Amino acid sequence: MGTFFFKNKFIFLNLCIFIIISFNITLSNAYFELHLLIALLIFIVKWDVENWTVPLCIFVWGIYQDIILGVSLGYSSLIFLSYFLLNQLTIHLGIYETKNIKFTLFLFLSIFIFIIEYLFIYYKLAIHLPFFINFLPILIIILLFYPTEILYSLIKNSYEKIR
Amino acid sequence: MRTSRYSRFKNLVRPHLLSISVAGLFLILSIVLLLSRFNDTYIGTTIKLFSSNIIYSISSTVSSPVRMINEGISNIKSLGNLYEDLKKYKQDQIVDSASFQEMIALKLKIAQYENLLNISKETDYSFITTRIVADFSNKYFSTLLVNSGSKNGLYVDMPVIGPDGVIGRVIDINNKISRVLLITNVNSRVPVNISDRAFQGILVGQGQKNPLIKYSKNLESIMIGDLVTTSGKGGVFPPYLLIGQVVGKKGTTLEVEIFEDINTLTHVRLLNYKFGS
Repeated sequence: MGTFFFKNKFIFLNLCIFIIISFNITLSNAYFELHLLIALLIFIVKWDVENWTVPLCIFVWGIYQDIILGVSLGYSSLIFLSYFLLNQLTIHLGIYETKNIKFTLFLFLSIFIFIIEYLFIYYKLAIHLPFFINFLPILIIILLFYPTEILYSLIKNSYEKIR
Repeated sequence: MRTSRYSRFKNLVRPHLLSISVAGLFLILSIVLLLSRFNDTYIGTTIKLFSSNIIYSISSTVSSPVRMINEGISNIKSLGNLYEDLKKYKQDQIVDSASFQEMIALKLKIAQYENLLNISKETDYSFITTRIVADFSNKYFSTLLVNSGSKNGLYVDMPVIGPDGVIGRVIDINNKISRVLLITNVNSRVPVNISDRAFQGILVGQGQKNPLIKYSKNLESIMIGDLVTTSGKGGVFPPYLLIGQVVGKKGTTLEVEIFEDINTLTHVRLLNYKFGS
Protein backbone atom coordinates (compact mmCIF):
# COMPACT_ATOMS: atom_id res chain seq x y z
CA MET A 1 0.00 0.00 0.00
CA GLY A 2 2.79 2.38 1.05
CA THR A 3 4.86 1.64 -2.07
CA PHE A 4 1.86 2.03 -4.34
CA PHE A 5 0.90 5.28 -2.61
CA PHE A 6 4.32 6.90 -2.83
CA LYS A 7 5.11 5.80 -6.38
CA ASN A 8 1.86 7.34 -7.61
CA LYS A 9 1.55 9.96 -4.87
CA PHE A 10 0.50 12.81 -7.11
CA ILE A 11 -2.19 10.82 -8.95
CA PHE A 12 -3.41 9.14 -5.76
CA LEU A 13 -3.77 12.41 -3.83
CA ASN A 14 -5.56 14.10 -6.70
CA LEU A 15 -7.91 11.14 -6.91
CA CYS A 16 -8.55 11.40 -3.15
CA ILE A 17 -9.29 15.13 -3.43
CA PHE A 18 -11.61 14.50 -6.38
CA ILE A 19 -13.57 11.80 -4.51
CA ILE A 20 -13.83 13.85 -1.29
CA ILE A 21 -15.10 16.91 -3.19
CA SER A 22 -17.62 14.76 -5.10
CA PHE A 23 -18.93 13.39 -1.78
CA ASN A 24 -20.12 16.94 -0.97
CA ILE A 25 -23.29 16.10 -2.92
CA THR A 26 -24.32 13.35 -0.48
CA LEU A 27 -22.29 13.92 2.68
CA SER A 28 -23.28 17.47 3.55
CA ASN A 29 -23.01 18.01 7.28
CA ALA A 30 -23.05 21.06 9.53
CA TYR A 31 -20.37 19.74 11.87
CA PHE A 32 -17.95 18.16 9.44
CA GLU A 33 -16.91 20.12 6.37
CA LEU A 34 -15.25 18.16 3.62
CA HIS A 35 -13.37 21.16 2.22
CA LEU A 36 -11.55 21.50 5.55
CA LEU A 37 -10.59 17.83 5.36
CA ILE A 38 -9.08 18.49 1.93
CA ALA A 39 -7.26 21.52 3.35
CA LEU A 40 -5.82 19.28 6.09
CA LEU A 41 -4.74 16.73 3.49
CA ILE A 42 -3.08 19.45 1.38
CA PHE A 43 -1.29 20.79 4.45
CA ILE A 44 -0.01 17.43 5.72
CA VAL A 45 1.33 15.93 2.48
CA LYS A 46 4.94 16.67 1.51
CA TRP A 47 4.41 18.03 -2.00
CA ASP A 48 7.21 18.27 -4.52
CA VAL A 49 8.55 21.85 -4.33
CA GLU A 50 9.60 21.86 -7.98
CA ASN A 51 6.30 20.59 -9.38
CA TRP A 52 4.34 23.67 -10.47
CA THR A 53 1.35 21.57 -11.57
CA VAL A 54 0.38 20.93 -7.93
CA PRO A 55 -0.92 24.49 -7.27
CA LEU A 56 -2.61 24.43 -10.68
CA CYS A 57 -4.44 21.19 -9.80
CA ILE A 58 -5.40 22.57 -6.38
CA PHE A 59 -6.80 25.68 -8.05
CA VAL A 60 -8.85 23.56 -10.47
CA TRP A 61 -10.19 21.37 -7.62
CA GLY A 62 -11.22 24.56 -5.82
CA ILE A 63 -13.21 25.73 -8.83
CA TYR A 64 -14.76 22.24 -9.14
CA GLN A 65 -15.92 22.42 -5.51
CA ASP A 66 -17.25 25.98 -5.91
CA ILE A 67 -19.47 24.85 -8.79
CA ILE A 68 -20.78 21.88 -6.76
CA LEU A 69 -21.53 24.00 -3.67
CA GLY A 70 -22.80 26.99 -5.66
CA VAL A 71 -20.53 29.49 -3.92
CA SER A 72 -18.54 32.30 -5.54
CA LEU A 73 -15.76 31.05 -7.81
CA GLY A 74 -12.41 31.37 -6.08
CA TYR A 75 -13.63 30.71 -2.52
CA SER A 76 -12.41 27.10 -2.18
CA SER A 77 -9.27 27.71 -4.25
CA LEU A 78 -8.32 30.52 -1.90
CA ILE A 79 -8.65 28.26 1.14
CA PHE A 80 -6.85 25.29 -0.46
CA LEU A 81 -4.01 27.42 -1.82
CA SER A 82 -3.52 29.17 1.54
CA TYR A 83 -2.89 25.78 3.18
CA PHE A 84 -0.69 24.70 0.26
CA LEU A 85 1.40 27.87 0.46
CA LEU A 86 1.88 27.39 4.19
CA ASN A 87 2.88 23.76 3.56
CA GLN A 88 5.49 24.87 1.03
CA LEU A 89 6.81 27.51 3.43
CA THR A 90 7.26 24.91 6.19
CA ILE A 91 9.29 22.79 3.73
CA HIS A 92 11.44 25.78 2.74
CA LEU A 93 12.01 26.92 6.29
CA GLY A 94 12.92 23.38 7.32
CA ILE A 95 10.17 23.00 9.89
CA TYR A 96 8.11 20.44 7.96
CA GLU A 97 9.29 17.55 10.15
CA THR A 98 8.58 19.47 13.41
CA LYS A 99 5.03 18.37 14.08
CA ASN A 100 4.22 20.80 16.88
CA ILE A 101 5.24 23.91 14.94
CA LYS A 102 3.35 22.58 11.92
CA PHE A 103 0.29 22.05 14.09
CA THR A 104 0.56 25.60 15.52
CA LEU A 105 0.77 27.06 12.00
CA PHE A 106 -2.22 24.98 10.91
CA LEU A 107 -4.17 26.13 13.96
CA PHE A 108 -3.37 29.80 13.35
CA LEU A 109 -4.26 29.65 9.65
CA SER A 110 -7.57 27.85 10.40
CA ILE A 111 -8.52 30.43 13.03
CA PHE A 112 -7.41 33.29 10.74
CA ILE A 113 -9.57 32.02 7.84
CA PHE A 114 -12.52 31.53 10.22
CA ILE A 115 -12.20 35.09 11.58
CA ILE A 116 -11.96 36.62 8.09
CA GLU A 117 -15.05 34.65 6.95
CA TYR A 118 -16.93 35.54 10.12
CA LEU A 119 -16.10 39.26 9.87
CA PHE A 120 -17.00 39.31 6.17
CA ILE A 121 -20.47 37.90 6.90
CA TYR A 122 -20.89 40.21 9.89
CA TYR A 123 -19.94 43.46 8.12
CA LYS A 124 -20.92 42.75 4.53
CA LEU A 125 -24.24 40.96 5.17
CA ALA A 126 -24.96 42.33 8.67
CA ILE A 127 -25.55 38.82 9.99
CA HIS A 128 -24.36 37.61 13.36
CA LEU A 129 -23.69 33.88 12.96
CA PRO A 130 -23.63 31.61 16.04
CA PHE A 131 -19.95 31.41 16.93
CA PHE A 132 -19.74 27.88 18.35
CA ILE A 133 -21.76 26.08 15.64
CA ASN A 134 -19.66 27.69 12.93
CA PHE A 135 -16.39 27.07 14.76
CA LEU A 136 -17.18 23.40 15.45
CA PRO A 137 -16.16 22.08 11.96
CA ILE A 138 -12.79 23.86 12.32
CA LEU A 139 -12.36 22.45 15.82
CA ILE A 140 -13.03 18.91 14.54
CA ILE A 141 -10.47 19.32 11.75
CA ILE A 142 -7.91 20.70 14.22
CA LEU A 143 -8.50 17.62 16.40
CA LEU A 144 -8.00 15.42 13.33
CA PHE A 145 -4.56 16.93 12.65
CA TYR A 146 -2.46 14.53 14.72
CA PRO A 147 -4.30 11.30 13.72
CA THR A 148 -3.99 12.23 10.04
CA GLU A 149 -0.34 13.21 10.49
CA ILE A 150 0.41 9.87 12.21
CA LEU A 151 -1.41 7.94 9.45
CA TYR A 152 0.55 9.77 6.76
CA SER A 153 3.86 9.15 8.60
CA LEU A 154 3.03 5.43 8.91
CA ILE A 155 2.40 5.12 5.17
CA LYS A 156 5.58 7.12 4.46
CA ASN A 157 7.71 5.03 6.84
CA SER A 158 6.42 1.73 5.46
CA TYR A 159 7.44 2.90 1.97
CA GLU A 160 10.90 4.00 3.10
CA LYS A 161 11.51 0.66 4.85
CA ILE A 162 10.63 -1.26 1.65
CA ARG A 163 12.86 1.04 -0.40
CA MET B 1 24.83 30.92 -26.51
CA ARG B 2 21.12 30.62 -27.21
CA THR B 3 18.84 29.80 -24.31
CA SER B 4 15.27 28.57 -24.54
CA ARG B 5 12.41 30.60 -23.06
CA TYR B 6 11.79 27.93 -20.46
CA SER B 7 15.38 27.87 -19.21
CA ARG B 8 15.31 31.67 -18.96
CA PHE B 9 12.16 31.36 -16.90
CA LYS B 10 13.84 28.73 -14.76
CA ASN B 11 16.74 31.10 -14.17
CA LEU B 12 14.33 33.85 -13.25
CA VAL B 13 12.44 31.71 -10.73
CA ARG B 14 14.59 29.27 -8.79
CA PRO B 15 13.31 25.67 -9.20
CA HIS B 16 12.70 25.22 -5.49
CA LEU B 17 10.62 28.41 -5.46
CA LEU B 18 8.63 27.52 -8.58
CA SER B 19 5.80 25.85 -6.70
CA ILE B 20 5.49 28.75 -4.22
CA SER B 21 5.50 31.33 -7.02
CA VAL B 22 2.78 29.53 -9.01
CA ALA B 23 0.74 29.00 -5.82
CA GLY B 24 1.06 32.72 -5.03
CA LEU B 25 -0.14 33.64 -8.51
CA PHE B 26 -3.15 31.35 -8.26
CA LEU B 27 -3.88 32.65 -4.77
CA ILE B 28 -3.99 36.21 -6.15
CA LEU B 29 -6.18 34.98 -9.03
CA SER B 30 -8.59 33.38 -6.52
CA ILE B 31 -8.81 36.64 -4.53
CA VAL B 32 -9.48 38.58 -7.76
CA LEU B 33 -12.19 36.08 -8.80
CA LEU B 34 -13.80 36.29 -5.39
CA LEU B 35 -13.72 40.07 -4.99
CA SER B 36 -14.72 40.87 -8.58
CA ARG B 37 -17.79 38.64 -8.21
CA PHE B 38 -16.77 36.74 -11.34
CA ASN B 39 -19.84 34.52 -10.88
CA ASP B 40 -22.16 37.34 -11.91
CA THR B 41 -20.22 38.29 -15.05
CA TYR B 42 -21.18 36.98 -18.47
CA ILE B 43 -18.06 34.79 -18.74
CA GLY B 44 -18.60 33.40 -15.23
CA THR B 45 -22.23 32.54 -15.94
CA THR B 46 -21.31 30.89 -19.26
CA ILE B 47 -18.55 28.80 -17.66
CA LYS B 48 -20.91 27.67 -14.91
CA LEU B 49 -23.70 26.94 -17.40
CA PHE B 50 -21.55 24.69 -19.57
CA SER B 51 -19.55 23.00 -16.84
CA SER B 52 -22.15 22.45 -14.12
CA ASN B 53 -24.14 19.72 -15.93
CA ILE B 54 -20.98 17.65 -16.48
CA ILE B 55 -19.70 18.34 -12.97
CA TYR B 56 -23.00 17.35 -11.31
CA SER B 57 -23.15 14.14 -13.39
CA ILE B 58 -19.57 13.20 -12.49
CA SER B 59 -19.90 14.02 -8.79
CA SER B 60 -23.25 12.26 -8.42
CA THR B 61 -21.79 9.14 -10.12
CA VAL B 62 -18.74 9.16 -7.84
CA SER B 63 -20.83 9.69 -4.71
CA SER B 64 -23.55 7.19 -5.69
CA PRO B 65 -22.31 4.42 -3.30
CA VAL B 66 -22.63 6.83 -0.35
CA ARG B 67 -26.06 7.95 -1.54
CA MET B 68 -27.21 4.33 -1.79
CA ILE B 69 -26.03 3.65 1.77
CA ASN B 70 -27.78 6.82 3.01
CA GLU B 71 -31.01 5.86 1.24
CA GLY B 72 -30.80 2.34 2.67
CA ILE B 73 -30.39 3.66 6.22
CA SER B 74 -33.28 6.10 5.85
CA ASN B 75 -35.46 3.33 4.37
CA ILE B 76 -34.74 1.09 7.37
CA LYS B 77 -35.52 3.99 9.71
CA SER B 78 -38.81 4.74 7.96
CA LEU B 79 -39.77 1.05 8.08
CA GLY B 80 -39.27 1.14 11.84
CA ASN B 81 -41.61 4.12 12.11
CA LEU B 82 -44.26 2.57 9.85
CA TYR B 83 -46.62 1.46 12.61
CA GLU B 84 -46.46 4.84 14.40
CA ASP B 85 -46.97 6.70 11.11
CA LEU B 86 -50.05 4.61 10.26
CA LYS B 87 -51.58 5.34 13.66
CA LYS B 88 -50.88 9.06 13.26
CA TYR B 89 -52.22 9.03 9.71
CA LYS B 90 -55.54 7.53 10.85
CA GLN B 91 -55.92 10.21 13.51
CA ASP B 92 -54.99 12.98 11.06
CA GLN B 93 -57.43 11.67 8.48
CA ILE B 94 -60.39 12.44 10.75
CA VAL B 95 -59.12 15.96 11.51
CA ASP B 96 -58.15 16.58 7.87
CA SER B 97 -61.57 15.71 6.46
CA ALA B 98 -63.18 18.24 8.84
CA SER B 99 -60.61 20.96 8.07
CA PHE B 100 -60.84 20.25 4.34
CA GLN B 101 -64.60 20.90 4.40
CA GLU B 102 -63.99 24.04 6.46
CA MET B 103 -61.36 25.20 3.96
CA ILE B 104 -63.67 24.71 0.96
CA ALA B 105 -66.39 26.68 2.74
CA LEU B 106 -63.93 29.51 3.48
CA LYS B 107 -62.64 29.53 -0.10
CA LEU B 108 -66.19 29.85 -1.43
CA LYS B 109 -66.91 32.62 1.05
CA ILE B 110 -63.77 34.56 0.00
CA ALA B 111 -64.66 34.13 -3.68
CA GLN B 112 -68.15 35.56 -2.99
CA TYR B 113 -66.69 38.57 -1.10
CA GLU B 114 -64.16 39.21 -3.86
CA ASN B 115 -66.94 39.21 -6.42
CA LEU B 116 -69.01 41.59 -4.30
CA LEU B 117 -66.06 44.00 -3.84
CA ASN B 118 -64.99 43.61 -7.47
CA ILE B 119 -61.36 42.88 -6.45
CA SER B 120 -58.95 42.12 -9.29
CA LYS B 121 -58.19 38.41 -9.40
CA GLU B 122 -54.81 37.07 -8.22
CA THR B 123 -52.78 35.34 -10.91
CA ASP B 124 -53.31 31.59 -10.84
CA TYR B 125 -50.20 29.48 -11.05
CA SER B 126 -49.38 25.89 -11.87
CA PHE B 127 -46.50 23.96 -10.34
CA ILE B 128 -43.83 21.39 -11.15
CA THR B 129 -42.87 18.75 -8.59
CA THR B 130 -39.22 17.78 -8.64
CA ARG B 131 -36.77 15.66 -6.64
CA ILE B 132 -33.94 17.02 -4.49
CA VAL B 133 -30.62 15.59 -5.69
CA ALA B 134 -28.28 17.38 -3.30
CA ASP B 135 -28.92 19.16 -0.04
CA PHE B 136 -26.54 21.80 1.31
CA SER B 137 -29.14 23.16 3.74
CA ASN B 138 -26.95 22.73 6.81
CA LYS B 139 -24.43 25.37 5.80
CA TYR B 140 -24.78 29.15 5.98
CA PHE B 141 -24.78 29.27 2.17
CA SER B 142 -27.74 26.85 2.22
CA THR B 143 -28.86 25.67 -1.20
CA LEU B 144 -30.52 22.64 -2.79
CA LEU B 145 -30.04 21.00 -6.16
CA VAL B 146 -33.18 19.76 -7.91
CA ASN B 147 -33.30 17.50 -10.96
CA SER B 148 -35.25 19.82 -13.26
CA GLY B 149 -33.92 22.54 -15.47
CA SER B 150 -34.65 24.85 -18.35
CA LYS B 151 -35.88 21.95 -20.50
CA ASN B 152 -38.65 21.39 -17.90
CA GLY B 153 -39.69 25.04 -18.13
CA LEU B 154 -37.89 26.30 -15.03
CA TYR B 155 -36.69 29.90 -14.84
CA VAL B 156 -34.68 32.03 -12.43
CA ASP B 157 -36.60 33.34 -9.36
CA MET B 158 -39.22 30.57 -9.47
CA PRO B 159 -40.68 30.22 -5.94
CA VAL B 160 -40.05 26.83 -4.30
CA ILE B 161 -42.34 25.36 -1.62
CA GLY B 162 -42.61 22.17 0.42
CA PRO B 163 -45.82 20.63 1.83
CA ASP B 164 -45.74 22.97 4.86
CA GLY B 165 -44.52 26.25 3.40
CA VAL B 166 -42.04 28.29 1.39
CA ILE B 167 -38.44 27.09 1.29
CA GLY B 168 -36.75 29.35 -1.27
CA ARG B 169 -36.39 30.34 -4.90
CA VAL B 170 -34.47 29.15 -7.97
CA ILE B 171 -31.20 31.01 -8.58
CA ASP B 172 -29.30 28.94 -11.16
CA ILE B 173 -30.71 27.07 -14.13
CA ASN B 174 -29.08 24.42 -16.28
CA ASN B 175 -30.59 21.99 -18.76
CA LYS B 176 -31.34 19.24 -16.27
CA ILE B 177 -30.41 20.62 -12.84
CA SER B 178 -31.23 23.82 -10.96
CA ARG B 179 -30.07 25.38 -7.72
CA VAL B 180 -32.51 26.63 -5.08
CA LEU B 181 -31.51 29.42 -2.68
CA LEU B 182 -33.12 28.55 0.65
CA ILE B 183 -34.74 31.16 2.90
CA THR B 184 -32.19 30.21 5.57
CA ASN B 185 -29.28 31.24 3.29
CA VAL B 186 -27.48 34.37 4.52
CA ASN B 187 -28.03 35.95 1.09
CA SER B 188 -31.82 35.40 1.15
CA ARG B 189 -34.23 38.33 1.59
CA VAL B 190 -38.01 37.76 1.40
CA PRO B 191 -40.69 40.46 1.88
CA VAL B 192 -43.21 39.14 4.39
CA ASN B 193 -46.52 39.85 6.12
CA ILE B 194 -46.73 39.26 9.86
CA SER B 195 -49.98 38.32 11.64
CA ASP B 196 -53.51 38.76 10.25
CA ARG B 197 -52.97 42.53 10.42
CA ALA B 198 -50.33 42.19 7.66
CA PHE B 199 -47.44 44.08 9.27
CA GLN B 200 -44.58 44.35 6.81
CA GLY B 201 -41.00 43.15 7.17
CA ILE B 202 -38.07 41.50 5.41
CA LEU B 203 -37.14 37.93 6.28
CA VAL B 204 -33.35 37.56 6.38
CA GLY B 205 -31.67 34.12 6.38
CA GLN B 206 -29.26 33.35 9.24
CA GLY B 207 -27.68 30.06 8.15
CA GLN B 208 -28.27 27.33 10.71
CA LYS B 209 -30.15 29.67 13.07
CA ASN B 210 -33.82 30.63 12.65
CA PRO B 211 -34.32 33.44 10.11
CA LEU B 212 -34.98 36.97 11.41
CA ILE B 213 -37.48 39.61 10.32
CA LYS B 214 -35.88 43.03 9.99
CA TYR B 215 -37.21 46.51 9.15
CA SER B 216 -40.60 45.90 10.78
CA LYS B 217 -42.19 48.94 12.39
CA ASN B 218 -44.98 47.51 14.53
CA LEU B 219 -43.01 45.34 16.91
CA GLU B 220 -45.21 46.10 19.94
CA SER B 221 -48.33 44.85 18.11
CA ILE B 222 -46.70 41.60 16.98
CA MET B 223 -47.17 38.61 19.30
CA ILE B 224 -45.26 35.38 19.69
CA GLY B 225 -47.02 32.77 17.56
CA ASP B 226 -48.15 35.22 14.86
CA LEU B 227 -48.09 33.70 11.39
CA VAL B 228 -45.56 34.86 8.80
CA THR B 229 -46.55 34.70 5.12
CA THR B 230 -45.13 36.07 1.88
CA SER B 231 -46.38 39.58 1.13
CA GLY B 232 -46.14 39.32 -2.65
CA LYS B 233 -44.07 42.51 -2.76
CA GLY B 234 -41.06 42.27 -5.02
CA GLY B 235 -42.97 40.08 -7.45
CA VAL B 236 -40.96 36.90 -6.83
CA PHE B 237 -43.27 35.09 -4.41
CA PRO B 238 -47.06 35.06 -4.69
CA PRO B 239 -48.81 36.55 -1.62
CA TYR B 240 -50.14 34.56 1.37
CA LEU B 241 -47.77 31.59 1.15
CA LEU B 242 -47.03 30.25 4.62
CA ILE B 243 -43.46 30.59 5.86
CA GLY B 244 -43.53 30.12 9.63
CA GLN B 245 -44.38 31.77 12.92
CA VAL B 246 -42.83 34.33 15.23
CA VAL B 247 -41.02 32.62 18.10
CA GLY B 248 -39.06 35.48 19.62
CA LYS B 249 -38.28 39.17 19.73
CA LYS B 250 -34.66 40.39 19.77
CA GLY B 251 -34.41 44.17 19.89
CA THR B 252 -35.70 45.45 16.57
CA THR B 253 -35.84 42.02 14.98
CA LEU B 254 -38.23 39.09 15.17
CA GLU B 255 -37.14 35.45 15.20
CA VAL B 256 -39.12 33.15 12.91
CA GLU B 257 -39.38 29.39 13.06
CA ILE B 258 -40.06 28.10 9.55
CA PHE B 259 -42.77 25.43 9.18
CA GLU B 260 -40.93 23.36 6.65
CA ASP B 261 -38.32 20.88 7.86
CA ILE B 262 -36.00 21.17 4.87
CA ASN B 263 -33.68 18.34 5.98
CA THR B 264 -36.47 15.76 5.70
CA LEU B 265 -37.71 16.82 2.26
CA THR B 266 -37.18 14.59 -0.76
CA HIS B 267 -39.36 16.48 -3.26
CA VAL B 268 -40.30 20.14 -3.71
CA ARG B 269 -42.82 22.13 -5.72
CA LEU B 270 -41.74 24.90 -8.07
CA LEU B 271 -44.48 27.46 -8.65
CA ASN B 272 -44.98 28.82 -12.13
CA TYR B 273 -45.71 32.33 -10.87
CA LYS B 274 -44.77 35.29 -13.01
CA PHE B 275 -45.73 38.65 -11.60
CA GLY B 276 -47.81 40.71 -14.01
CA SER B 277 -48.21 37.97 -16.62
